[in-house]
Amino acid sequence: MNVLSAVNLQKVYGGRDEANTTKALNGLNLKIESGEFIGVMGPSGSGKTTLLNILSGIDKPTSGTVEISGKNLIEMDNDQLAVFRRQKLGFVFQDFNLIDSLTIKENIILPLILDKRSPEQMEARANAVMSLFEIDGIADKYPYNVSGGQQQRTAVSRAIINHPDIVFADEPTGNLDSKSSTSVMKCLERMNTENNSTILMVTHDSFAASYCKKIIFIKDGTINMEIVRKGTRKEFFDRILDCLAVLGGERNDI
Amino acid sequence: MTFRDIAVKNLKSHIRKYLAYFLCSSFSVMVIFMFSTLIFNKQLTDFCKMINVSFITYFSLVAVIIFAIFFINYAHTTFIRSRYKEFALYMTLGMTKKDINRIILVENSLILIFSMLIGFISGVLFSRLFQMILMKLINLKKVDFAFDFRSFLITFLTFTLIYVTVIILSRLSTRKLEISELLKHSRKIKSEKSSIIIGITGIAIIIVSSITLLFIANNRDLNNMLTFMSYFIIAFTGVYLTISNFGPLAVKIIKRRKGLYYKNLLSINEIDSKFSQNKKILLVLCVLSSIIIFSVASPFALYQQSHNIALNTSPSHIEYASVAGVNEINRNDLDTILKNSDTMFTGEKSIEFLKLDYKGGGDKYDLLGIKPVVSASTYNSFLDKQLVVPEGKAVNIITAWEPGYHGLPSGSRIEFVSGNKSFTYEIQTSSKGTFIADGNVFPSSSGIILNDKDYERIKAASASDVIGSFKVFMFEDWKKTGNVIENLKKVFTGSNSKLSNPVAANMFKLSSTLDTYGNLKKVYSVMLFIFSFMGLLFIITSGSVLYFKQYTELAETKAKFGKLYKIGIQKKEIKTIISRELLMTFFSPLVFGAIVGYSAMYLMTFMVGGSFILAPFMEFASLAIIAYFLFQVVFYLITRKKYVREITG
Ligand SMILES: Nc1ncnc2c1ncn2[C@@H]1O[C@H](COP(=O)(O)OP(=O)(O)O)[C@@H](O)[C@H]1O
Ligand SMILES: [Mg+2]
Repeated sequence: MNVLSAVNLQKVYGGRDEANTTKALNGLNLKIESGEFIGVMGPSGSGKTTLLNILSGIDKPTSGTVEISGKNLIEMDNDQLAVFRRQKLGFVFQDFNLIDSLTIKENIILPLILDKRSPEQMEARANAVMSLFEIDGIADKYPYNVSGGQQQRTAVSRAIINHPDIVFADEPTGNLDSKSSTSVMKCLERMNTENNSTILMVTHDSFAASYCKKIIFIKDGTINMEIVRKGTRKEFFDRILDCLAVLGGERNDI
Repeated sequence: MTFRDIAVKNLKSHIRKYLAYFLCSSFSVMVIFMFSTLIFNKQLTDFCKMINVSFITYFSLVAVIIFAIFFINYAHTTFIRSRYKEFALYMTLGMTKKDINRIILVENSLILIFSMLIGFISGVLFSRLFQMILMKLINLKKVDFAFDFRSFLITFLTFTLIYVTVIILSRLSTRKLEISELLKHSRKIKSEKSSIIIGITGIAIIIVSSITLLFIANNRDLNNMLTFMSYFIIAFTGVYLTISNFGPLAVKIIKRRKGLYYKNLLSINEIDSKFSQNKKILLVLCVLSSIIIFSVASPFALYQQSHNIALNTSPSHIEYASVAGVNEINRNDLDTILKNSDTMFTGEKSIEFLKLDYKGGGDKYDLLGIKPVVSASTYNSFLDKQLVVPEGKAVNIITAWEPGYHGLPSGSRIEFVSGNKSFTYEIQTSSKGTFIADGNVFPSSSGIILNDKDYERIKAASASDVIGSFKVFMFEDWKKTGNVIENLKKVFTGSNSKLSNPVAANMFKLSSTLDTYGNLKKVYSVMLFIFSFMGLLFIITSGSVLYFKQYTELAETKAKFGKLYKIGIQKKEIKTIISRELLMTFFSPLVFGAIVGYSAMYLMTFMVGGSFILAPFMEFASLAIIAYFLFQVVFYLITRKKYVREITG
């Protein structure tokens, strides 16, 4: 089943005069099927974050359309988009995007709170997801008192608490050490295999990308190539490195 | 790069923060200076002393200083806190804590010096205007603007002291901080120390102290300045405890109902964190709003009620004491004067008293060492009372305005000397109250009532120049008694000057409702001006404090709602959350302020008069509260609109 389809996306940033504009996306097309776990890679400045923001309705494209679960995002206004996001989408960000004044548990149930669900549902789902990602011990702590890995797993929990149609992750391991990165990527992998969640993840970390089932490489605002995972993760990891070499991007730019 | 270079670079890059802090400081200096000049303005203090309200100038100065302490402390802490991240960065780059403290010290000293300079300059300018208006109000033609160096000194010392304290406090709080803590500090929002029990205690303190105040207001011995000030301090301690623990208390209560709690989680959380972050500032706002309410409402009420208060303090339209040739007028002249009155003369009374020399006890009211003495039956029939005084005892009724027993507490003895005999009585009771005539008529702090037999015994032993009488005249309209008063005074000044001791004779004043009324009006207009000015200052302050608070929080709040926006919050939901938080911040100080302001007004009513002016006083207090409330509503709506636009834009 088709979850997301984007057609001919263009995004131009910048000023009135030609010289000052940046073409971040340049006629990009993308289709995502239910249950896919797609990685988006590309050199820094190639438009990855821009793509993710547009697909998730945080930003609007200059032209082109985005459809998620049959709904056209372009036609919605900001408030409709907000409701759509909290009901149908999940997010994981590089800087975790947790609210410092809320406890870990409260942060996790935020999408449900925004959507005014029943407290029973919130409690039940929160407990389930927290034990899934092994953060139930820190439920009542505040984000600034737990480790980066725990914060990101909190964010991952929050991303799936509303059973979203698709989860967007922007550099989820960007601020983490390798141990925490592994634990977070395992979480995402489990989300995908056990819950059958659809995930679109932007990353420049080849190790993180090797957890995906498919990688698309973008350059200059369009999809440059696409590889699908076959065999072990190690093999996939090597192929990703090869592709990056071909693409001419930096191997490990941060 | 030297240390100085860094300090200078700092100053440049944070110019807005410095400016806000600097303006707050300068403003405080200006205000303290303006009010301290009042204390040393001889014309004003003489006037206040004359009409027994010397406390006004001190009271307002103290109020202003307290306000400055909070205000500067607030400005300083926000200033320092906004820079924790920067300090942490310096420390990671290898700066020691000592260096950081030096930066803080250098910056603050510079700000201190410059705000002092600006504060003094603007203070001198505004003081001129301020005093000019005051002098106009009390009808002084010549106005001296000699700025006493002591007002500079007071301002300088107060301000330096506040600064040093504030710096020491902030040094104590940064001493404990490590780099990681400094970084965390900007994120840490909850204060873990809040306690629900303390919060409840706080509420209890407010309620109990306010109710106690209502009860003791009627007690003449207790309703004095001390009670008044103590009430302020106790009530605001309660307010502070309540505010600082309000968040957890509210959360605890609401948490019992999970559905309600989750539904309003974001609003509750926003209010909770803003309250624990801003408890000091909220306290300042509470104090400010109570002072605004009190200081605007009470002088208006007093001014409007001066008619009634005058009648209450001087119920006899014209009265004077006539004894030993003092204030003597022959019947024909008196009748002529009364006949020429602009209003109908309706009756007169003559109440006999003895002007007795006594030994011991007394203060500035008792320079002549004499007391007016009347018999119990005279007193009872004139005032329609049933006082019983046993033989050998005396009742002392204090007519002086100032608190205290003026040397004659209950249980002490008073010895009268008349002719060559001496008479000693024990003071049965000594308290404030109404004597036959008011305090100006007879130069003494009190009047004495004796048993009829004792009275007759002294009278029999006394020479005729000891026996005098209070003369009381009533008219149809006391407001038109001006010419009678003037004519009588003219006659008395003429005749008294021929006596052997004209200075003493002139201390037996003619008192009238009209004069009291005139004096009250003058006093109240001065109060009205000083207090409204203070009110205005405090409204400006409270507004700028709120504005300051909103803008220091802007970046943080914006970031928070930015995060929420990404996971799907609607604009109107943001607006609701912000509105609720602003509503609490803008109006909870008003509620607490209103409680304290109301209670203070109530006490004030009994201090200046009694229950007869209670209704109009409370009416004015309510009006002031409503007006303030409306003003705040407008201010709230404007702020909300701007703030929401800043956050969501
Ligand atoms: N808000 C913006 N305004 C102007 N230009 C932007 C903005 N955001 C991104 N860009 C530009 O668009 C291009 C793509 O950026 P981005 O999507 O962030 O790349 P990536 O995430 O792949 O590093 C870059 O050249 C960047 O400078
Ligand atoms: Mg990016």
